[in-house]
Amino acid sequence: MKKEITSKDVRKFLANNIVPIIFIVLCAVCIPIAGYSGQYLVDQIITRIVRNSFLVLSLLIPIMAGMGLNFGMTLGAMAGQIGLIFVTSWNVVSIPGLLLAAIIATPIAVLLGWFCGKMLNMAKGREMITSYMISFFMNGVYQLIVLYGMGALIPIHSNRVILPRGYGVRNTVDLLDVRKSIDNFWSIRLFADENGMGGLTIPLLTLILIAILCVIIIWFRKTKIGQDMRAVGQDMEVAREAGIKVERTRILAIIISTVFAAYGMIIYLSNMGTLNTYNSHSQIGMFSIAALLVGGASVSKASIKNVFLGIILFHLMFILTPQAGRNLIGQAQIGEFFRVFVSYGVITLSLVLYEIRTRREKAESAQTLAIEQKEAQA
Amino acid sequence: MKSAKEIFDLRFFVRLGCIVAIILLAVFLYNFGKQRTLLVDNWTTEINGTSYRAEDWAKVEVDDLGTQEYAPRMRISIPLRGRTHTIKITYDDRSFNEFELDPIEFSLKYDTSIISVPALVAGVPVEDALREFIVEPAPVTEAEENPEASISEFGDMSMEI
Repeated sequence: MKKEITSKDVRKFLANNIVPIIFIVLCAVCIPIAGYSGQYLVDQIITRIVRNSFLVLSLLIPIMAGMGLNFGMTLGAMAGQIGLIFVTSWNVVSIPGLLLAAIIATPIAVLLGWFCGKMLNMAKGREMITSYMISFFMNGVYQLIVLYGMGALIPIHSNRVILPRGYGVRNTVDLLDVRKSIDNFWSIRLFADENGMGGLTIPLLTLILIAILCVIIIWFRKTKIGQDMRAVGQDMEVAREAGIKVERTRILAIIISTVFAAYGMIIYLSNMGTLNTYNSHSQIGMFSIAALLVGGASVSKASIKNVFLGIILFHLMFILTPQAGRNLIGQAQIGEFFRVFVSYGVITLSLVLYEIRTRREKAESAQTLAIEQKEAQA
Repeated sequence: MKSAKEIFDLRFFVRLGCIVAIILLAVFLYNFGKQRTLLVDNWTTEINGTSYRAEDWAKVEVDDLGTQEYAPRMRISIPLRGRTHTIKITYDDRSFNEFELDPIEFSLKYDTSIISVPALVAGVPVEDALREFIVEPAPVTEAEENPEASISEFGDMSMEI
């Protein structure tokens, strides 16, 4: 039997997907104004997917465990950066360099994730703001280590990394030796001209790595610990009654997310080719969360589909708005401002919508309960 | 309290094995991926008090990475991975007779080393012809010299990418 689509269904669909719909409309408006070719846009989107997917995917597991958006992924990003600082200083290049960076970053990310998880267990119900504050706190610790510890206490002597004063890491560390090592290891070029120039470059190995992570996340959901996380995410008290170690499960979710974020940061920075020692990590959390929300995810629900849709829409807007701003009013800066307030705005909008939805659901269930009670009394 | 048998169970040894394997992998990656720079130098040089004049023409190949021709006062930087390497030198004398030296094996101890072609041609042992080259640190900007100044009180909240 065919189900009729009522206006209520349409309203519900719009309410649930308002953020991606707004972005689709914005992109549709900006594409003709910006005037970029389709091939250029696709090339840029592929680059952004390759660069950001791992980071955004790292946010899924804490959402599954009911811990909301993990602003603490910044901690993982810091761990990844520390790994890259070491391999750059030791001059370990190419894929071995990135693998070594990942090995160095893993224990640091596990430790930071464990710390963050412990803190979040003490602040149940306020995980997002707590993780946001922890990221600021740990940023201070990171800066202390990188500014005063490295070179002085931690033996790093490379001139490429350490400032001439003998301690402290340079503002910008050049990652030329590991730049695009994964992307260039196995890539194909499509639609190239006769000279082999132009066209689209598809970095197959990086895409395979991203696909493997997606499969791991899907598989993980079906494992015992994955099921436990979902149960904890649904209702902590019920999960505890069922014998699940709630606190341990939540800590595990944050540790896994932090470790993935560390790997994601290594992939991101190796793609960029430059490490902005004191700022890269602080920006990345906000961008990744905004991208996930743009894809239609919420504080309590997110899927792999949201990750990729979000990266495409969010970064498409990033690419389009400066040029659209320039073409429209002769100033690229307007596009820069636009994308800044949109990034923060989309997070705010998603949080507000989540709150409205939660209240509406509560009100609806209360109404249903009241009707049922009335009927029972009658 | 747990007994020693309970602590040192199979799971403990599996975990220990994994940690050891990862450490060994890290050591392997370090040795395999470590890049050192060799400067192949055809300048007139002085080693142990003896001066060696730059070759008028030489052809040098390091580790089958392709040959490069050298004129006097030429210095080419070659990035190398691994510790032990081979250098093959072909040169000519003033009558344009071409000679080829037997491949010379050497190992790199420093991040950047310099090897003198004229010294090798003159028969100087590779241990003397190969020296550490100390690279002048890259200049830093004012902001880089003082990174503390670039960190705002509230962290960086800009959205620049």
